[in-house]
Amino acid sequence: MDDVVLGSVTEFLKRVPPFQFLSEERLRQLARRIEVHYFPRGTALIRRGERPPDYLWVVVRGGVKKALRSTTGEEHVFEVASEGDLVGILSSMDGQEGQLDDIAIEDTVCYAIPRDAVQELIATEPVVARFFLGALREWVRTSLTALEREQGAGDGSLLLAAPCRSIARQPLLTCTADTSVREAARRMSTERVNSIVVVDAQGVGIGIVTDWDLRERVVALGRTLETPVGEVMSTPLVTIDADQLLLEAVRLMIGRRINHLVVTEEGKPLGMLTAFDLLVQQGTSALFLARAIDRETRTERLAYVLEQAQRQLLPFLLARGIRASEVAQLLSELNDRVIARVLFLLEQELGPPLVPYCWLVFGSEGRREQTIRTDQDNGIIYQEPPAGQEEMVRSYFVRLGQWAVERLVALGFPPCPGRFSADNPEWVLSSAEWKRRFRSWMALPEPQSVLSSLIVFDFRGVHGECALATELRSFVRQELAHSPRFLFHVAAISTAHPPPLGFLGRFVVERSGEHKNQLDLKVGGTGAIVNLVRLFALEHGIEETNTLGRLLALREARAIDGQLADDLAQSFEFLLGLRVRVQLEQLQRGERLSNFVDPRQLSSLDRTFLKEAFRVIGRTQAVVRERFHLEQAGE
Amino acid sequence: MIGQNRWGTWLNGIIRQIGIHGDGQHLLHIRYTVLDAEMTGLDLERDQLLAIGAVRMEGARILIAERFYSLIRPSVGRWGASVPIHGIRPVDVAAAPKLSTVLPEFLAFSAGTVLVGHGVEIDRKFLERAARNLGLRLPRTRWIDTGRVARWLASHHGTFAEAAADRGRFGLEELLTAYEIEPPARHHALADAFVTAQLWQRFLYELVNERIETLRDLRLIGLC
Repeated sequence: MDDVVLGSVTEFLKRVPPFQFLSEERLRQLARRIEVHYFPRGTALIRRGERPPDYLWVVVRGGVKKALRSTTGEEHVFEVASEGDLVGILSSMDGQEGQLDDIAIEDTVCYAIPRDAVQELIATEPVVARFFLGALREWVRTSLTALEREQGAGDGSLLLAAPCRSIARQPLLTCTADTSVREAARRMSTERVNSIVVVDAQGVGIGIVTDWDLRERVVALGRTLETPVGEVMSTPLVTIDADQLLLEAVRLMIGRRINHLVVTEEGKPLGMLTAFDLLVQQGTSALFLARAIDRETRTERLAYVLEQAQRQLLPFLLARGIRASEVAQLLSELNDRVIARVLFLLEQELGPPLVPYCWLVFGSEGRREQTIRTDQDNGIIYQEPPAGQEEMVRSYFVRLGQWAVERLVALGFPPCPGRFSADNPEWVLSSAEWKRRFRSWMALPEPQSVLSSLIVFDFRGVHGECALATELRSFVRQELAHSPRFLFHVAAISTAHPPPLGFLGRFVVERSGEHKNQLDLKVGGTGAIVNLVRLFALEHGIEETNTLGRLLALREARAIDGQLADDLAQSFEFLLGLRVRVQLEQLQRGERLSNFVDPRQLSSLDRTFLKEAFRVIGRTQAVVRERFHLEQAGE
Repeated sequence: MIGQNRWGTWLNGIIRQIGIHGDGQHLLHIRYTVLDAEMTGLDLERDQLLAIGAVRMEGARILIAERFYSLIRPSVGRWGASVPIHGIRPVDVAAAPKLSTVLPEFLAFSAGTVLVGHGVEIDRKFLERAARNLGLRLPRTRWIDTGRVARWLASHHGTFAEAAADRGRFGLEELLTAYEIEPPARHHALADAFVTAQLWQRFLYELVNERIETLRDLRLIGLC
């Protein structure tokens, strides 16, 4: 009868692994031994190297960052524990001293479980023991070892979130274009490297000579060793700024299919970054997956590679604090490669295309914002066929579209229920037909047709003759300049769904149905930002399709206020990340994917960010309504 | 921040000058009993205690294991108006122990600790009168009212949540909202004691921030 307090503690623990596996009775016994601790923002729960704490903490409210300061003073945040997460697992298990700094990043309330209680649980409850001793421990240890190794190297870098500068090999071997192949090869073998960068008189890199170039362009062609390297080098030199993240380097290598990147600082070569360096840097390798895709000769086996990407790479990268938008771009790169591979194999079966074509992707894939795979939205654009061959050419591409979509479905890219895909002949058009299609959308805008055509406006060429896509893009840009009515309708659509935030900043949740008490992160959230930013981009002739890329371009063109651009970018990043986290949890629980979340199940930190993101959307929609003289959307 | 530090230094200076030999124990090392009582009404002469709830704190740590709760069967059946507040009906306490049983148990539970409560003055008066009626005496100890502490902190620009300060109200309800403390139940003596403890937990850090570090410091500013 005295158990209001005990009851509330027990109720909370019921939602927290591994305690949720305990029997009601066991849980109550545990609850009795708990203490409530409070940590003002900035105070430490555990300090690295200090005596082990006497408790395992469960965060009830607030947030705790698990961080490490490298020798250079840089702080690496491994993860942020929020509501329901545990702090001090290792220490409470085996009484080891703290291995990380655990610091409250806001005022934090925790349930503290005394260490002997934890040890008792481990000894008597196999399920708890498995939880503590199993995967989690392994995970913590692995990441710590990885970090320790990095620290040993003294550069304090950490996996892919580190800047390229941190693992670029220095000094860089360089020579001028008139150096002989003999001399270049001699220096490469003396320095034990497999590449040399060719620079001009000003020291600016113009090309690269690798082992591969020597083999393929000198030896295989029977050229003399006195040939100047300028004649055999690979150009252009692909470079990356020293401050860019390694993740970006991986993306570039996958995208350009190269193994060497020259790291530059203010345009000057600084060091060399190779695929091998990156492989060493990162265990679950995105590069490895990309290489596997390229080598695969049978479509079915690509499914395995994709599965790897979704099941392992995505959570792996997110858990390491890589931003959702960056992960999405990397995954888009992998998806593009799969699509390209599927089409390449199909072209072999069907025979080569009669005219050049380009495979287009629309919607989130077109914007490079897909994380967990959603519907396929794609189409084909092909060059005008010679007179008399129109039907033959058309039927080839219709068949290609149908087969490709079928294969992609088999690989786990779900079909598009709205039939915005290349198995629908409506989206398999010649260049002139595409232009007519876009022109008709823009000329007689009906709200319904605007709505359904919007995702096509985010088209991007993935495989084949991408110039066809580029040309279509500039056509659309020019047409838009004379289509104010179309933009008006886009503006109306972009403000049609206000963010789910009501008076006094309360969340507006569904009142009934399947998603009772939940709110939609897409319609009034990520989707709303995508729509608004697309509107700005179309209005200002920005050709980029990625939302963050569009914002950057708009900012540089001074088309929108810098503060607004930043706010939108941050809100988008947050919402996208939250959506991925929510969906990963749904996947793990074997539930159907949805964009709905119950705000009460979010940490207070997430709730604060979420409200702020919704406010930014509301503000931007108000600005748009004002400018296009639109009525306030109804609730 | 500079203002606060200067104020703290000034206060410490005064303390040293007048050389008060009070309780110098640090606030974070004291054992507290955080309590809440429910009464049939607020008339000290005619109303009676209906329930006592309390939670133990060791410094800023709230110990769930050490809690006290009992309903009390009043000697006369005078209540009605207060039922909607605490929800305790005559039938609920019909089988409860009498005050003569409960009070000594509570005194044993709270012995040797500093007592803390929200608006604790009224609880204290009821407890004192009840003890007197039973021929007992409350042990000499310090009493801390979290409502008054909140007011003091607000006037000394602590880290106090703006919302509460703006409204200038220091009811338990307002403070819980301002500090985002979720009550497991309201107007239940044990639940209220538990949330008051969480409030006191935060005030402890805010007080230390303001250089109020011992019971002596608290007494000097009139908070116990």
